[in-house]
Amino acid sequence: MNAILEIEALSKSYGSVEALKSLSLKLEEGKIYGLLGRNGAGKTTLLNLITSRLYAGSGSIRLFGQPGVDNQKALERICCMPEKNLFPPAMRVREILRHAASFYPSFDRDYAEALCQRFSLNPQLKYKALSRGYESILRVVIGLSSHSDLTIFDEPVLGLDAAGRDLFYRTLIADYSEKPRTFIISTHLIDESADIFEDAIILKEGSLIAMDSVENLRKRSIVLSGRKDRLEELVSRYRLAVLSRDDIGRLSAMTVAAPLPADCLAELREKEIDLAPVSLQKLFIHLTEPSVGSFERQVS
Amino acid sequence: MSANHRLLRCTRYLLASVFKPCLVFLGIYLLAAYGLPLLLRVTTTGSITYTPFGPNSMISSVVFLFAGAIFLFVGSYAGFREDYNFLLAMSNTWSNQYGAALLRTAAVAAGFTAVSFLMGWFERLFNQVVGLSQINDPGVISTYVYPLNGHQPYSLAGEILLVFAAFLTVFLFGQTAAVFSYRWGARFTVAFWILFGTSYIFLPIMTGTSEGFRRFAMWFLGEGGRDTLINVGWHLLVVSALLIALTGLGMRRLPQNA
Repeated sequence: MNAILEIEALSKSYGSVEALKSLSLKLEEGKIYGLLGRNGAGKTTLLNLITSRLYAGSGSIRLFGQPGVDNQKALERICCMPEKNLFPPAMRVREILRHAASFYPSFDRDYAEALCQRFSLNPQLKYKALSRGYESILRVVIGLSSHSDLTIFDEPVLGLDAAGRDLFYRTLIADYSEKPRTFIISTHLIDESADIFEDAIILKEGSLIAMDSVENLRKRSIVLSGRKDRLEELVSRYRLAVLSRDDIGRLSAMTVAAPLPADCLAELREKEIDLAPVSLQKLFIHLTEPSVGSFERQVS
Repeated sequence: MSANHRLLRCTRYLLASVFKPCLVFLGIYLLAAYGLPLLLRVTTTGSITYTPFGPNSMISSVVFLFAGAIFLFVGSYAGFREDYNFLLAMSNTWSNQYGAALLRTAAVAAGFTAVSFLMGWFERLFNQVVGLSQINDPGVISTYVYPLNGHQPYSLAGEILLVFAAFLTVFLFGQTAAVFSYRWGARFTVAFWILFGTSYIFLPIMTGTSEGFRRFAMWFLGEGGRDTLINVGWHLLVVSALLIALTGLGMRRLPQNA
């Protein structure tokens, strides 16, 4: 697959605070990427750098094979709907959509109107009259209708109720199936959006700590649960790397690096230890804990 | 979409964003300038006409120059943030936005100049000229700025140049201040407004205390020259060029500040 975005040693500081530290990554076309990280991990900074809304201290960005900074040709193939409000408060939704249609070459106005109906967004309303949830819906409508080669959503479901979020995920998947293109979705709602991501990019304190398919990430660790003493003994004997543990009385649940040795797997049944796949959110929480290093370092 | 198309679309958006405020301003101005005096004027003995604005006075096109300048300055300052953020959200580069902002500035200044002159010509039509000295003076060909007595074509050209350059300068001045406020935030904004707000105190003091500054001010305002209008017009155009360069520096790689 072709690389749609190539970032090399990208760094960005705000005064003495390093928001991004020599970050390198490559995104392929036609995938849905989840951009994950705790507050202040550098997600929004990264998205703003990709779209030339901020400028890096060092490093390079290539979009669609061309230099990406201030490159209008490349930028017009990107639609980035930010978390922050960049729309004029007095402008009506209808006008915002009209302007969006004039700026994004592949914008589908009929589809935008259909999405407004589907999400019950009144196009006659002024932006300032929209609730936080409807502001998010407007961004979703623009992002999906733009049909840009690279569509970026920063917290697209902020303020949306459960039904609205579910509708967004279903609409996104349907739209992506019909017109495959690349999406980057930055979100804190990991569990409910994990199923739509093909790959996850995990940032921690401005550095990339993991980037792989969600499936592979999940395969890299496993949750063992059972009696605490038996688990501790097993972990110690097989020298398993424990990523996290939760103790409840005599029971314990440990997330350990996978794959497990065959002997160990056989022993699990004997010792009545359950084995379950780890959730992306669980893995994310563990990986981004302040005291924890990169995934690769821990399991190596 | 070619780069030129993109530039034109940005310009069209920027023009659309100022269209309604300009229309409202013009409506209010015309109402105040011509509607109120017509409704409220009282003619007393002799030929003196009293209006809410004093005896024998009419708000007219010359006042429009000042009112329009204040409106353009405030408007360009206040509107920059919203426009810049929106065009960023629509995937436009700073350089595209800079070009569009300049085109919009020129178009708005030209529009306001045209309105001023239309207003002036209407005043001539109804024999309502600006100053008392101009009333019933058939030799006056000026619309409003100076009571020009000649029939030289360059007089009118000078007047057009002056009015256009004046509107251009104030619009750019507001825009330049807004760009730096956007870039540097409260530090610049506070300093700028303190300096700007007190300039009416220290500029006259400087004129009185510094001979060099006084001579510069006199030269800038075209005092003593033969073609005052053209001179002042060109001086303002030079100031505009400096402001364009300054805006360019301020907008260069201007990061989002929302």
